[in-house]
Amino acid sequence: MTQVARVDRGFMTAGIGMAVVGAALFAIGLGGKDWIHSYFFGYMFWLVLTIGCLGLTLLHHTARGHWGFPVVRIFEAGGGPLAIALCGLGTIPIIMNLPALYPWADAALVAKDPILQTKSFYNNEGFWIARVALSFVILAVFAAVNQAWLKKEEQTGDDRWRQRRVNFSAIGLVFFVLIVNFLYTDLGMSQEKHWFSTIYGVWLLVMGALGALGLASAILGTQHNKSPYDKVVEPWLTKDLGNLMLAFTMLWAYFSFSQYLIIWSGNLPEFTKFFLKRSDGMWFWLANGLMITGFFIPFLLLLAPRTKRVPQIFGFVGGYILVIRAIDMFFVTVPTYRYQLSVYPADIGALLLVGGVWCAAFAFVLRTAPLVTYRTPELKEAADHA
Amino acid sequence: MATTNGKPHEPLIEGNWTNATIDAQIGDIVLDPKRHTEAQLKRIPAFLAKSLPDQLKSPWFLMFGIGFIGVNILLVAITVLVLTGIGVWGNNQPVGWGLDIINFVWWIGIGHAGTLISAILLLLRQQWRNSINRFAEAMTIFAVMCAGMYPLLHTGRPWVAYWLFPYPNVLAMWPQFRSPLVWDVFAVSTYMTVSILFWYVGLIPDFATLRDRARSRFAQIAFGFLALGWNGSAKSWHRYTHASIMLAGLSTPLVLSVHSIVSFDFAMSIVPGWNVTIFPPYFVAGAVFAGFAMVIALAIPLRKWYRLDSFITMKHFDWMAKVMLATGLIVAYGYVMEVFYAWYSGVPLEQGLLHNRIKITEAPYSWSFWLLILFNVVIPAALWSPKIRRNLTALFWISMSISIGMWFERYVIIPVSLTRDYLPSSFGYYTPTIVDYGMFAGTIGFFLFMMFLFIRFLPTINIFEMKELLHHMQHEKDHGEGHGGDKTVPAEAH
Repeated sequence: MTQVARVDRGFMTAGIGMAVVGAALFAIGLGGKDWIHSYFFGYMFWLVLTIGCLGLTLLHHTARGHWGFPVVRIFEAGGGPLAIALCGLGTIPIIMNLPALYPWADAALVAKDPILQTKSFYNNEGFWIARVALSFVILAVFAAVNQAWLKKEEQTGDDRWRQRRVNFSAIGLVFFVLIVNFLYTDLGMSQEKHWFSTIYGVWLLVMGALGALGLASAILGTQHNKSPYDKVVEPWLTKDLGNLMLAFTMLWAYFSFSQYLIIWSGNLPEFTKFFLKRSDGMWFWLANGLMITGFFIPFLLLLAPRTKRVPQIFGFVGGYILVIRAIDMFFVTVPTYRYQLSVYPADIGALLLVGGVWCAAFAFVLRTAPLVTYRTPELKEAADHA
Repeated sequence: MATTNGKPHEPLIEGNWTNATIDAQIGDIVLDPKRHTEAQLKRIPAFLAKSLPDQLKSPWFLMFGIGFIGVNILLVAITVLVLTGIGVWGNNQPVGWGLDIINFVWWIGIGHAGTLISAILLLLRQQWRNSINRFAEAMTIFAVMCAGMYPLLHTGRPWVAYWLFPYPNVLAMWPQFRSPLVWDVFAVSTYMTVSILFWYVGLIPDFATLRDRARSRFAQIAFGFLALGWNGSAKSWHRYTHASIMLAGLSTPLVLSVHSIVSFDFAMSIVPGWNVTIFPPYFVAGAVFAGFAMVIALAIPLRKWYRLDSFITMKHFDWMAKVMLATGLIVAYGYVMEVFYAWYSGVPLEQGLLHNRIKITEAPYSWSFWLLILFNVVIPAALWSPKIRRNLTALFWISMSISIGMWFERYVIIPVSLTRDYLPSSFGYYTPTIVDYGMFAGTIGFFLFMMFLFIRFLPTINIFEMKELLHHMQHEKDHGEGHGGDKTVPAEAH
């Protein structure tokens, strides 16, 4: 008899474990001045993953590709209203420590810096908090509406809900990209005093999408022989999802390389500082390591047809990509404050603590609906296709 | 029949066709000269209607004639340029690059759709590409030819352009590999080579069809020579399929790399408004946007004049319009990012650039920025409407709007930044000369000339892929009910 996949149970157990270990590790660093930076790293990784899940949900509803039907529940749980609400709440420690994270929130620094003064109309505590809060509210509404309409469609079988969902997601995707871009600018980019990069928002967006695909692939790979995944994890699905991961891996490398090359070539003081910090000392080796582990290894693995055919290998590669995204986020966020590469227990603690809460919420949402559903004609089509 | 939500899928080939009738409908455009003279233009001035022989009143002759006039304008412009020097262009300090680079980027962008449709959509198993890939590929090659003329002539001494290649020589000349202009040489020449190869490989089975259908001895020999001994055996098809997939795999990164490298021409510099990190993806999206606009603008009249309605259906236009809408939104996102971060940077030079782009009352080039927004953002927004996506008149004019808008995009990037550089003492205004405009009109003419030669002598639509598609559709129709009752998978999903 086929076993039933209990993804929710697994994530709940893992979440509780991660939260406990993470809290202990994080507590070690709480006394030091760097704890908020550790927290910020952990928070950003899970935020970017959440937004990646929501982005793929919207993309799937818009494009209606078959690849999305067996994994849409995972994306809905990872990027649903609950996850977004938690991410919104996760900004509270950041809001309480704005001067420790953002130069524009440090009055003494602003008084000395004409560029920060020019931007003070936009980057000030009140407006910043209002923008971030509004972004989370809108993203949560997007997620909630989509989820509710998909549920309605499944319950009633009425095709009009499908069309509404498609139309809403297509327009929603446009606003989603803009909102997320400004959110990442506020949360991440504004940590740098003068640095700005027009590709930053989509760079993080691609990182999130890659992480979300990695998460979904890891779940499918480990649960492929359990119900209901045993009916949908077929070579066509792993091939499509594998190709998507390959495309996003290339896109990540393309964005990262283009950004670096343009800034290196321009060699202008306001731009280079970001990469100067990240190419100093051991950070240089981490940057090079990321090139190999973040691009070359997954690229070569995903190029091989076998990776996309054997569910276990496919799941392993997905998990690997997710782990690399955490290291990548460490590289993107931490060098802003830490001039030498060092990993504190609080860094791992924050990653696990925020991740523990995230996994528990993920498990909770997964429990509320079947992992794969065949109610709508399109879902049935995907199943027939399988 | 294949369905989605109970509604039948629109077929990719409409009407009742057989292999033989497909051969005749597409192949005879090449083999039967009457196909180019039978469609008469309705709106023609009375004095021309009386004086012209009937066969010259056809759309093919009209377009070929316009192209021919354009080629002559181009030849005159090039002759004046070569005999006098590039001073006959409007380029001068502070604008060392003017219409030449604008037109180069514009043409390269148009040249992107062909390979995108042929290679990327082939890898994505999108069967709707079959009806449009052949002439889109031809369009790519001719557009890249037009593009290549500009940097070649801008060197001032095109006869020594080969110095751009790194070869051992007594002059100890060596290209500057840090310059993106040198990267362009490699990127564009590789793209051109692979595009021609891909196009030619795709033509081989059709050359064989034309060889077998041709009645004149000359056509039989010519197409036989071009068909490279194709005999339709399983071995031939096997090799053909492998070659196509390999070339598609090779072309896909090329599509992305060429326009990324073109964007580096600007982004590698420190000119305000050019050192922008979003440029590579934004340029690639813009290229696809412009390329699809040109494919649509050509497909609509061709479909009508050569009665190709059954092969280029409304579904094809709907898909192409959706691709255009999506890439147009990416381009619009790029505009928003450029404007926002120029302001957000707090850097006076970047903010100055923003001022120079948008302030209607104070900035001399702001008209071009707002025209760009109108042509590339406002008008294409109509594509959100499914009705507009299937209205060929509207679609044609939206495509034209995008083509004009993409030209303005490059106009905004180049003179606006160069005329307001770091030093106020070197501020200026760029005015193209008649030779600049002549070159541009001439390349448009050259493009039309080549396109209509292609339509006359080579199959405009991929014959064998249409037959293969017909076979799939037939198979699906015959066996659909045997696949588990509710056969719901669309053909393109396979």
